[in-house]
Amino acid sequence: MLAARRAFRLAFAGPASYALAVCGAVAMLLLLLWSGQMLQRYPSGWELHVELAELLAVLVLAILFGLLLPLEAAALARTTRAGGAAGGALGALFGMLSVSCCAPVVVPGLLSFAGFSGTALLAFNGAVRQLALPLTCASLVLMALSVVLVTRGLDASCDVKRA
Amino acid sequence: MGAQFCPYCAAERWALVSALQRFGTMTGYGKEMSNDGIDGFKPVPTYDLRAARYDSLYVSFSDKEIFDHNSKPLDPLSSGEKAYVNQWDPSGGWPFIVINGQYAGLGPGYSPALLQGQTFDGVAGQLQRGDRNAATDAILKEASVISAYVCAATGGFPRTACQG
Repeated sequence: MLAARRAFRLAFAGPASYALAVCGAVAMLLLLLWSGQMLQRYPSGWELHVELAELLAVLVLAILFGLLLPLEAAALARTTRAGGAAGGALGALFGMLSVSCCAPVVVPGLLSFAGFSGTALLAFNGAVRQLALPLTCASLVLMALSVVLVTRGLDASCDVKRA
Repeated sequence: MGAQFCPYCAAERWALVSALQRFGTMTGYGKEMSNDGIDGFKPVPTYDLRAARYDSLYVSFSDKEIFDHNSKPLDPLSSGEKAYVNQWDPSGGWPFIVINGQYAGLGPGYSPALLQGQTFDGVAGQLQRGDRNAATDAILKEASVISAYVCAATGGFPRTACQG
């Protein structure tokens, strides 16, 4: 607990860190809402429709991502923490997968770009819908895990510097 | 192409049927509801077109529901339909409409929120009576868009549907 407090104090040393955290959280929130079709533009204007459980998951993911960014930036300034970065990216990816309904945007778009056919992605999107709950849990765990990993790494780098 | 659980597909079917009825007669359809709570939408009433019969001198129609209410695979696509999906719907989304292999539309033309919580008979009645409200306006506007593409594909026939 003391180590986490030390790492967070280091990461959130100035207003720039808070700005990075807020911007990161808001950007991730918008990305998740948009890629999951919860935020949509219709001829009548923008509309937000989301289940309470989905909204909570998306909010927690966005907040964790916001926390992760300054921690990651502080860690990168000292040493490379590839594990934390990968965990955060996976958490965001699983989050985007888990909150998709009918025409999810980001991940199928990337897979399409990578050469997957539309019919293959139809089946993929259907399978993802059935796995929404485990994917949501996995995304939350991965994002939380990445925060913990980076926090530990950051604290460890402080000890090295002190030594 | 749509899915039974999907509220966006449920909304789009109203416009699709409304457009198709300008070119022929739709019979034998059932009444359906999308799943409750998807993306925060209450159940959206809609047509069940899987057993519907469509008679028209100008247009033939095929409906495929690729997933049922439990997201299990339902209607398989023909090889021609798969080719359309690969060409026009590369990210594998739905609802998806192809008209004569020339025009394609992905996603709903209006929000399912306009129809959520209503009954099939309620919406159908409003359309039959010519009631004007946000829901019927949106359905008819999207139906006009679909009709315009069908008219372009049929070369402007029948004149009764394509003029005005």
